[in-house]
Amino acid sequence: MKVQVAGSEIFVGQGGVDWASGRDTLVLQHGAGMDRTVWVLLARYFARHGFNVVCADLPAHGGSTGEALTSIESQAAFLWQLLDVLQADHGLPAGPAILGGHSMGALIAVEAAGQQPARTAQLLLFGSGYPMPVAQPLLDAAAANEQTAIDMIAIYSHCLKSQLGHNAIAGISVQNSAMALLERCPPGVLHADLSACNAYEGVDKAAAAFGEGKTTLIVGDEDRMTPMKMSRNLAGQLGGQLVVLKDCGHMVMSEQPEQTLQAVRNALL
Amino acid sequence: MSGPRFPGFDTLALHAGQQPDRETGARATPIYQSTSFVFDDSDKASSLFDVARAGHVYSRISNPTVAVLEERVAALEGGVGAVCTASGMAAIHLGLTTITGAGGHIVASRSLYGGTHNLLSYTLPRFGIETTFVDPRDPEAFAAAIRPETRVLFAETVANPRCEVLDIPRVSAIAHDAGLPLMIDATLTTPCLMQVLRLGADIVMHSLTKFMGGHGVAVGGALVDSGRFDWEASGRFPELTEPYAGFHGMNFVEEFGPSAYIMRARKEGLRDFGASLSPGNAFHLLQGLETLSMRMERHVANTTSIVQFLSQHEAVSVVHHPDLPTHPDHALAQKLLPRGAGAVFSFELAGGRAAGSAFIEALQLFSHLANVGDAKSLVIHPASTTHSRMDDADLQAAGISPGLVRLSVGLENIDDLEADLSQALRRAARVASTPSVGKEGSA
Repeated sequence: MKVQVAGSEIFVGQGGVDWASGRDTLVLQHGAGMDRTVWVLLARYFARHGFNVVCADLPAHGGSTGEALTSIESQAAFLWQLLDVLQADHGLPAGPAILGGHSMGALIAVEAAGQQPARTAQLLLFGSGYPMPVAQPLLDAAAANEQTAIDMIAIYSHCLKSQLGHNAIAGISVQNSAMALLERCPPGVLHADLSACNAYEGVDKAAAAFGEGKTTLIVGDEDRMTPMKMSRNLAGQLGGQLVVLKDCGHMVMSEQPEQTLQAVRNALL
Repeated sequence: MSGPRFPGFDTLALHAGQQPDRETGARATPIYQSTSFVFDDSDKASSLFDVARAGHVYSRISNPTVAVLEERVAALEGGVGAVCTASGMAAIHLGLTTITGAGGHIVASRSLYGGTHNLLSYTLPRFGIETTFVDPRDPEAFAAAIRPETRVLFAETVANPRCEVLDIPRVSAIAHDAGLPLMIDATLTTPCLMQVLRLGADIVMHSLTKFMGGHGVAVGGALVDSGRFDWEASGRFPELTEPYAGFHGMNFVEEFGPSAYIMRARKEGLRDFGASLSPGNAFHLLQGLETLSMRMERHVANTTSIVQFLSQHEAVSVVHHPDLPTHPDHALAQKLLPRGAGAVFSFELAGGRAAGSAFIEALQLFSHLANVGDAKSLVIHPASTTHSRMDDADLQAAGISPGLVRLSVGLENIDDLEADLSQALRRAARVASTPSVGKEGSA
């Protein structure tokens, strides 16, 4: 569905199942330069296992219009605005939500939990860590809207085994799919996202507000975008559980969909 | 963060889509000769049917051995995904019917493989899909033929047998300006010589039977999606942008984004048309694919030599290959096909039809058969075989004269190939100089 939020038309995926009362809400937020389709399997699975799934495209991403938001704080505030609209006008039941996010989306989820801890039931953080510095060559390439930026992300986000393939979804190249997604990003959007990740310093405050013991981090053992040291740090700050997936880089949902599903099932069911 | 590198073409040809078998450690891709696959539990079963988990259900839809080949071809082409099919014709059919239906229209090059010509001219019209054929050397003709009901533009990279080279950047721009995808048959060039998706094409298909497999032992096809065509912005493809009642009301663009087209091709086309590739054939094709670039280098090198040899031979009236400066597409081929314009081409003998027959029958290393892209050198007379269902007007439009001979140059020693051609050309010349036979040849 498409909904109006703060002057933008926002595309919201539901995992193919309409929302209903009596279900927990599971929000899944994509990362830098990506869109909702990175969640396709998890969204469809949990929509069929008792959850109201919300996976929205941020402004200027995927099927959403508008200008890219330039900070993690503004993206988190936007997420709450979106949930307000969905609950008020589109049948999403009220109540605390489980906030999930990948990479930049994970920072958005953490910040959102800090902004409204009473509305956040649990955090699920995929391919994430803190701090999330972005190398200057990548920032420069993204600022210039160069293909090199997409190439860097595609290469460093996938472990070698994933680059070579043997994807769980028959016939699909996870690396080329990620590149095709990134190439759909309008000029300037990827740079805005990466800059937001690079500048974000709010985890201490968010963690203090949200509290410990309600977070699960699911990361790859060969993640070069958010290395293990940063993942451990983020897990430590949130008092969260760290689940490490084998033979996996940064794109945990596409690289190891079955391992990722099992980790989320363990966290939610 | 400096120096990012993707795995190279040859590495992908050997490894893409496959990792050593976890259970047995097998390094080669095992042949999973099984129609169906056991579900771990009922939750996994229902999730697989709902496309909420990844895995295999039934080999008509997907199979682990075939999936390796699919991912490998997708990787070599730079696509988001691929579906392999029972043949190249099945790939063309699947590629077109995923986005066209009754009332739909295709704009296609008029220089096509005979089987493709049959499909577009005679078979698809029975299902309400019409095609307008245009000169592949005239990109504006594609634009002029587009109608409101047009759904796709279709052509070959290098046409068979006269080697017309398609200006893919120009034709793709024309297609995209009209909100349409460009689908390319890249069988004769393979991604080794030209990666058409990087030149602007949106969909590419192959007869894997030919150079991709390379050994003439298995029939198969592949359809590859670039993932870069914006189906939603086009507004012409409800198959992909609206809920599909035949698959849980799925909206493929909403759910799969860049891979919407190839997912629909599998979930509908393989499911309902059923032209799936067998795991045994997938295994054979994988063996061939491992050596693709080495074979293509040799195919091209041998072809370059033979094109020069034939073009200087007195028994040959004309050679149609873009290597030659006299070929109308020489400059375009230099630009789009710097590694070579392929190993399938044609030439005309000075003695016409009779000389052509004598030439083919005199050849000893070249095999007279209806295939191209084998490791072994092949020869055929298109007018009486591959293109025999075309009438004279269509033959003329496709540039096929009665005396045209088509070669598919293989990997044999070049001196042996040229010796075989030389003795056969002498035989042809003798026939051409015989008055009674010469009269027959000109009839």
